[in-house]
Amino acid sequence: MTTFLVKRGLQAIPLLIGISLLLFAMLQMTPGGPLASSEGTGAQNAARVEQIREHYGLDDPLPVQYFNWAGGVATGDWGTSFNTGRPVLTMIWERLPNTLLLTGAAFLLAIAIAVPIGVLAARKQYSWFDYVSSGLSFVGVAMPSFWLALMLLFVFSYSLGWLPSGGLEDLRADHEGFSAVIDRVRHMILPVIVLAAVSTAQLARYVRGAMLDVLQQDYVRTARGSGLRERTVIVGHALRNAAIPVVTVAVLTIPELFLGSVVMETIFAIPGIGRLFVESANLRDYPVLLGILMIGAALVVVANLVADIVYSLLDPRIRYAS
Amino acid sequence: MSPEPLLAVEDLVVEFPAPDGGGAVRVVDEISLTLAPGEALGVVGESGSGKSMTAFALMGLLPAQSRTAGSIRYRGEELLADDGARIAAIRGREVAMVYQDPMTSLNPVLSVGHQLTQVIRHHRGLGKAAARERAVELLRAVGIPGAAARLRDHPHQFSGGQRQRIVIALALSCDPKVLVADEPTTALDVTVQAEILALVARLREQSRMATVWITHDLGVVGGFADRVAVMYSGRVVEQATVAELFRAPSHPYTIGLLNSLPRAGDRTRLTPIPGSPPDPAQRGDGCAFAPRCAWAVDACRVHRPQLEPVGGGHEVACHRWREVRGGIEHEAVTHHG
Repeated sequence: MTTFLVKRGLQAIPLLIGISLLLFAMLQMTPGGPLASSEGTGAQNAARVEQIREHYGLDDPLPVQYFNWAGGVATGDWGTSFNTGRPVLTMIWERLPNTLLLTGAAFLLAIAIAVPIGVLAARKQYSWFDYVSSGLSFVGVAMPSFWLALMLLFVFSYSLGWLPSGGLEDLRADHEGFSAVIDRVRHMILPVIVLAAVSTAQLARYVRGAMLDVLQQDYVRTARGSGLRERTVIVGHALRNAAIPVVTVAVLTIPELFLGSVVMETIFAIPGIGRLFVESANLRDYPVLLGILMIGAALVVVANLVADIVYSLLDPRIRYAS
Repeated sequence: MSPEPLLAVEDLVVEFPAPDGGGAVRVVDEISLTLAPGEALGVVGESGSGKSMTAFALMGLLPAQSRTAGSIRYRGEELLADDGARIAAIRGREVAMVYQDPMTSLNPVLSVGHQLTQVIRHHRGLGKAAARERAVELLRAVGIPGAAARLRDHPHQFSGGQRQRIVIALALSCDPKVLVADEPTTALDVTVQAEILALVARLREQSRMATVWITHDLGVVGGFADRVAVMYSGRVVEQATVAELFRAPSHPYTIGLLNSLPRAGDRTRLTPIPGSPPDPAQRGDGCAFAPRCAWAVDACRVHRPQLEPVGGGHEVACHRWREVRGGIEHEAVTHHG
């Protein structure tokens, strides 16, 4: 197992290098540039623009720029933001906890809702519950999350005034101790629901499908024929097997949620990675964009690895040869 | 006849909704069987004759979309009432089953020890250690070498024959009074088949449990059962003690089965039954076997024969059993029109 992990870790390196090349090239191909807004605004400005170009090495040939940047990433210096002049890693570190908190909460919420719904829908296939949950799943998958966010904001924040409309804490009051926790949770409710909606819908459909598959298996009949309680048959035998394919999909929703935070954080004005990404994209702040995209890529690679490991824990037939 | 059979099936019907949506397809058609304590009943028939569905009906394990009618009584208690709750309460403990395919009948992700102790603990309320002990004892009884060390292994670490032994151990874990075995040896090699048969015969001897042994192989039944029910297209067409059935087979289908049985030293050609069994959705009013039957007359195609006693506890569902017994072949010329 350790050999397997080391091997997979090493395999990830060329993969990430390839991704970094692609990302770098794609950003260079986008129209405009970090100095687009300053260019052509007058002769007195031209000298200043030239100075900035010089400072950030933007005149260097692209391969040189790439190696400068990639070498920095490898050694822990992810460059400085064109916009704020602060180190990229520091900026990401500041924002990361907020995003992780929201995506983590959304992930747990999605699983906590999707698994019971999927199991119950499969158990009672073609029942009204199955139809309603399947219908809602389709709606959930099809609905744009920004629209859901705006509707929820309209109802719960604007019309009813129950929940705050943005941010992560109440800026008008000083909450301490327990009341600070409550305040934080109140701010998280809508963003987490929006973020979790699509994943919940997808996962519920997946759990239902996997359970339907497993419930027809001979060993489920054996378990039932052994006189075990229906609950034991469903949870202890069927779900235990259905979990294997579900885990892959579930783990891979983590990078999806991370990307989803772009829309959600923008709408709810949450100072996280997603909003940082949008801000940086608008300003063509390449070092910050590249940093965030690389973290996203690494997350996909890690999520895949985690899925493989959980796989082998759940299914004794899978053993990774070294 | 004993006054109270252990298990009594009366006019059991199992139907599935027709695939085209109209009406229902009967896969088990009014069959009646009885089982005395300690008795071994062989149920013989080809694929699609309804024998597996009969077994699943006994266990309450039919697919959800099926419908059942008739009666199954266990120790005088109706099992088909109250929506299967009665069966659910006794299965595993009083009535247990061994399934056709050992490769798929055990949960692949749970250890064999877990699967055994789970059932033992559920039915017997034993502690972990005691249940483990019982599991080892069972595995030893069914002939798994190194039983104690193998509790932690998963099904894929066992051979097909061993897996079937484990399924048998699972079925026997709570000393059932009735064991339903649905072709438990078809998926196995011939030598393993013989071992499994011998194993169940021995266990049956020891515990006096009654057995329903479902098979397509009359040869298996001959060595194992006390009584045989021959099924064809969802119905029992002949029922007798093993000795009586082999001595005086009285249904053309039974005779066909016997004629297609290879015998050691016999060099004559085997005679197969011509044609194939009818689609249960397309069965007419007459005898389902008539289209394949050399003895069939017009009456056979119009009226379905009912089981009738022919002496010595022997029952046959054939209009022409007397002629069949006498071996008089019907000449195709006389009745046609």
